[in-house]
Amino acid sequence: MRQAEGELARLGVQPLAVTFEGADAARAYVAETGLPWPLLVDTERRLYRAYEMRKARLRHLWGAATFRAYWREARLGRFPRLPRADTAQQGGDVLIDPAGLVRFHHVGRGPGDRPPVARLLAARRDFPVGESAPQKPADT
Amino acid sequence: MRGPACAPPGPVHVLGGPGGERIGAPVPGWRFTQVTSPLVGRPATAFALRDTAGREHRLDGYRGRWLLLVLHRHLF
Repeated sequence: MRQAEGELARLGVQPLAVTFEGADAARAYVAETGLPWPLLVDTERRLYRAYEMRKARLRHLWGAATFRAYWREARLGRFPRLPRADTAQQGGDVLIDPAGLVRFHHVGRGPGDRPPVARLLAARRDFPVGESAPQKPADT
Repeated sequence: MRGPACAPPGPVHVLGGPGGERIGAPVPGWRFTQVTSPLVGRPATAFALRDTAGREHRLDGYRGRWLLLVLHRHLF
């Protein structure tokens, strides 16, 4: 994701990271990783619930895709540590258009399940740069 | 709305284009199971959350801009 920082900026996409962990852990993460965008703290997991990110199944936590994901990270010099938080909490990505409508929604079933950045960028490129998404009538 | 029952196991992919929801093109190494989500095309959930610097971020503060929420699993 961070390799696409420039492209996201060019497309006018503001990334916001969200964590369910506490503010201290979040600050430590930002300090260690130099995360270039804001990291929001959602300890009550309201956004997680709203976007249907719940508990991962054991087979998704420890499946082959997980080991492949950790292997890819290890090749980049990033090795897994003993987790201090809820390892079963799912994560995911939500792209929201200028009108406030969801345009892309992905729930990661486990550590190895992330959409390629190219897919996220493709969802954004469906709309010309600077153009807002078509308005839909609000629900009543 | 879920994808076809015969879809192979794999991650969820949803793409909502200007013409409405549609199936995204396959990406090598990435499988598709669900072709749409009930949330695509729906209003995003409002939020008011603080970042690590104590600044509050609200959904309505980003009105008129594209926003990508990346909800992390555990951080470390």
